[in-house]
Amino acid sequence: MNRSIDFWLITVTAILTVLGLVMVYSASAVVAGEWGDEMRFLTRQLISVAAGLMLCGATAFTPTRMLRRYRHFIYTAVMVGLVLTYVPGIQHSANGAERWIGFGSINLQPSEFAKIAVLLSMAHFLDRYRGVVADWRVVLGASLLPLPVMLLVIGQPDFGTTAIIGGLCAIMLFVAGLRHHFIAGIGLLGSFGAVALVMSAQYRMDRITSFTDPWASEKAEGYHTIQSWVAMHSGGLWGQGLGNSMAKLHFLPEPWTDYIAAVIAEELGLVRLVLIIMLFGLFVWRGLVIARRAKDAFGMFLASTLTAMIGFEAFFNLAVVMGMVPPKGLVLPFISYGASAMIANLWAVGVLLSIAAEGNEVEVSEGWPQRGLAARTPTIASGA
Amino acid sequence: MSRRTHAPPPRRSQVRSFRPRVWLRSWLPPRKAGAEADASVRSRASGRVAWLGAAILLGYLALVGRASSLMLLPDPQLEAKARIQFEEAVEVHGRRGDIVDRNHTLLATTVNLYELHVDPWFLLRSPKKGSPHVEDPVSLLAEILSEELEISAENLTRRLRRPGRRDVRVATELTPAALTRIEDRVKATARKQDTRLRSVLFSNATPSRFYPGMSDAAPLLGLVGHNGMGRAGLERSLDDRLRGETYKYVLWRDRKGRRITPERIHAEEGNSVVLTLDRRIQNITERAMLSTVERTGAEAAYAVVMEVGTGEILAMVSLPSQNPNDGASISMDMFKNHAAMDAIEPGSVFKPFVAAAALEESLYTPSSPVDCEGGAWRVSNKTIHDDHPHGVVTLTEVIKYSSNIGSAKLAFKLGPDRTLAYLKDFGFSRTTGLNLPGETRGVMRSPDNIKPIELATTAYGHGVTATAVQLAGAVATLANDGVRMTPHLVRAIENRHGEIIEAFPPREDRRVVSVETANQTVRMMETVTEQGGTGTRARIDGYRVAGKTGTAWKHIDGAYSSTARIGSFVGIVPAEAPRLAIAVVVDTPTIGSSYGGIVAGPAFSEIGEHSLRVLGVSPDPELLEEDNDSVISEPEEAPQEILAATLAPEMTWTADGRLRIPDLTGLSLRDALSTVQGAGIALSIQGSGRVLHQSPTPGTALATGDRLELHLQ
Repeated sequence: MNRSIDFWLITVTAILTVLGLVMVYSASAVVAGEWGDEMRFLTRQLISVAAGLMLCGATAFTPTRMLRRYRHFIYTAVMVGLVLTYVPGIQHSANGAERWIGFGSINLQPSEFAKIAVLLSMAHFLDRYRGVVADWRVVLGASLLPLPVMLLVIGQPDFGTTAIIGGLCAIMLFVAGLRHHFIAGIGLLGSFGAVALVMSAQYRMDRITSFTDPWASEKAEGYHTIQSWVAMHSGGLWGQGLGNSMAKLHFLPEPWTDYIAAVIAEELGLVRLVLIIMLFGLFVWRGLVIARRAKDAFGMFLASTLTAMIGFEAFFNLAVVMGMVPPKGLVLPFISYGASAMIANLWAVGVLLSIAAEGNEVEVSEGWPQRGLAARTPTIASGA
Repeated sequence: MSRRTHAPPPRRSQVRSFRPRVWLRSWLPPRKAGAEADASVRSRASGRVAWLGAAILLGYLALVGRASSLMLLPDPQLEAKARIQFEEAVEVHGRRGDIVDRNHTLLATTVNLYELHVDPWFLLRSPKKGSPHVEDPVSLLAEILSEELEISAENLTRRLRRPGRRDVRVATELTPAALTRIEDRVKATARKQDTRLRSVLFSNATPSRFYPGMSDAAPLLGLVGHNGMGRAGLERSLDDRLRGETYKYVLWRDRKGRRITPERIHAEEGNSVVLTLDRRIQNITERAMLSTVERTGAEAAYAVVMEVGTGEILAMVSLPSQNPNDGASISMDMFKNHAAMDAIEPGSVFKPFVAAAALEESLYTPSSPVDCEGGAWRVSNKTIHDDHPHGVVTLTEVIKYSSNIGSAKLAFKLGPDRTLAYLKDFGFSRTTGLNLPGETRGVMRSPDNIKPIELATTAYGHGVTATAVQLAGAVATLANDGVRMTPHLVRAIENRHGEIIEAFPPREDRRVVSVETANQTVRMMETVTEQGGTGTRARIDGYRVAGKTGTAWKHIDGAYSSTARIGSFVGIVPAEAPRLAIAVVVDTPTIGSSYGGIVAGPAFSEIGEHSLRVLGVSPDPELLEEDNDSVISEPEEAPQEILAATLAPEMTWTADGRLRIPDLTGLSLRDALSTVQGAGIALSIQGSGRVLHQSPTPGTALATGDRLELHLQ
């Protein structure tokens, strides 16, 4: 098969990643300098990007059927990783959550990879039952698939990632053809679950209340939001200039991670921030085009949800930074500092590229190109 | 394909009891595949993918809208917040200029002191794996800081543990040395025991005024307030020269309060003021006055030493005073400059000026007879008295024995117009031109409405007031061949590069009396310290002293006190070639006699002797008394001694306000002492003779209270 390369996706990803490196350096240099090494975060991020690019390239040149073949292996590996986050001695915690596993100086966050692993298995499952997704048994089966992973992630505790995994699974079901009353049901169920989870932990509750009025808890939960607003507001139309952020000078804790967008807004201004949002828009557009052109249902389901993963994470991260939704602890894909997210997101790009490479030119209304026996002979089951 | 996977062969399923995958498959609905089914799945999925895309892009649109409103629309609340935490509209004052003496020895300077803050947030985080850490880093830090700063560890720990605190001020006014020591220690501890201690400390510098001479000249130099403005003394009157440029700009701060200025904004430094003061003579005078206060139990004592010929003030002492570096315990009462602010009734020290007027008008010669009426003389309906009754004496003896009646007679002979005009020419009741804050010019009756009794009392310094500065200026006029030089304190204003931008050369005020009159008056004043005079205690061995004692009743609440006196001595040394005019005033002595000659004379003598030595004025060997002590009785050694005193090395000040002790080896004890005096250095002296060895070694910086050992041989 003639593998084609989606240059749009590569270009957008490259721009965002390079911008991310620049901004991670800008946002962290001052604080890192106080710790003794100005390049500390940039160096680590460069290593992550290199690792991510290798994984991305390898995946991009791997046929998608290989991903399907090893889906159990990937799922199991992620499960093992998640279990290890509960093992003292291997787990590594920060800010009250045990999301990481440490190997020497490298700390990985298995939940970032769990998202992709779950989507991989789910896409395979829904591909196999693509004609009968409306059946409640398929919905139930598809719902059970991510459950072990979600339980392990919520226990870390990592509400944000759990919600993302659940949401992405729901999106895949939606794309796969779930009936409308199911969509409504899952939506309701998910909402109840979310509310219950929020109510169950005080810190999540605080985040919600601080979200509604950050000024009321300016010194505690509302602090991030206020600082982020102050930074963005001072950015204005054209920004204070690269490197001139004030927020990064200890006002925003760890400004190179979740709140890097505030630093970007302050230094680069509204115009460039909008350009970055447009780049994510472009990414989403390309990802969904790849999904529509995928050679099979697996590719379509997977590509659309991986795209949604990147797209929604970007949305929610920026929404948190702008105080539109309660804080969640989500990174800005390709830009925020963080090895696991960077590698996982580049891996997702690799998967997208692989799907894109196998893309077809068949009209949507004609279904997917049929392979093997099915492609040559009329399907008996089609009438059943 | 579908057929193959759809239904497993029944035979095999019967053989194996349970296979999850098979079980699952049997449980799930049958699959549906094929081109037609796929067509419907794919077209529905395509539609939903489009919806998905639309939803995400709609979300992005919302982001753009939100970002635009956040970043473009004015928001006073956010702007205020940004202002409060990032910027601070400040008036930046350039460094305040120094005040130096005539030899450029620092009298007042500005050094940076530091505030130390702690951000306990870092300590409350969980330790990084693999790096050293302790169970309780807060207590560890509190322990270190409490040791270094001598504060309660318990209290500090409590403050550091207060939730949400990110800025705990633990110390103010730390010297750079102390700050570095603490920082180094915490850093070392961070390396060894807990890496979280690494970035908890931060500091900011605050400029502080430092007076190396401690309480020396404190009331004269004055104080600077917390707002950086001169609050008293020269700091206040010269504030516009000393104060650095005020530059208003927006100061940016990071979370830790450190300043961030993208382009360095420089506020021009203030100018330095070069005073006419000589720190050595100032110190000599301080010590003389301190011992006077100790000896007499006076309420206040003050002195002015003026250079004859220039009117330059070499020393101005006012006691009581206080070390201006004492910060919190400062009492403004201790910074009252009595020498310029107290207008006292001068008493008999006024007599030579009246006598000079009478000589100048050729009404008398020094040997003209004056009838002192046997000690009591009626003027109008009042009687004036002499303490030591005399009959007819010469004018010289009127001065020598300090006769009130004789002086009154001179004034009557001169008449009110001429008497008061001459006194005014001598500087009385006129402003001195020093422009010290609170300086008074004293009061004197006007010739139009003065009553005879008032004229009589004015002649012996009552019913008229003058300051010590005016007295010194007047007596310097006699010493300067009758020409009054305007008293002055400021020699030059220098910019921060040491270039003189404004110079104040000596200025002649006016000729008051002729050269001859002046010299005759000085000669008459010499008799005061001669055998039988009132001021014999003001004598200086090896020099001729011309002077006049004064003992005035003190005016308290509108009436003369029956007990309180103000004793004074004004004089000139050496009388034959005057160099210094000195006025010493002792206000309300409480121990022993309160006669001016007794309370103020010894101080005059001490100031004069040591100051002449500093100035390198050799004593007249003919005048040296037989029974004199070692230094002056050995003529060969004396000049050396004087030279060494003049060349005694100065201590220099390090940037952090410590003293760098120069090489003292080879110096006599006296010279070594004159070098380190007044700095609050504790001395331990071993042996006698000349300094053989000093510890710590020369060049070492010492702080107040540190010990310096001198071995002499």
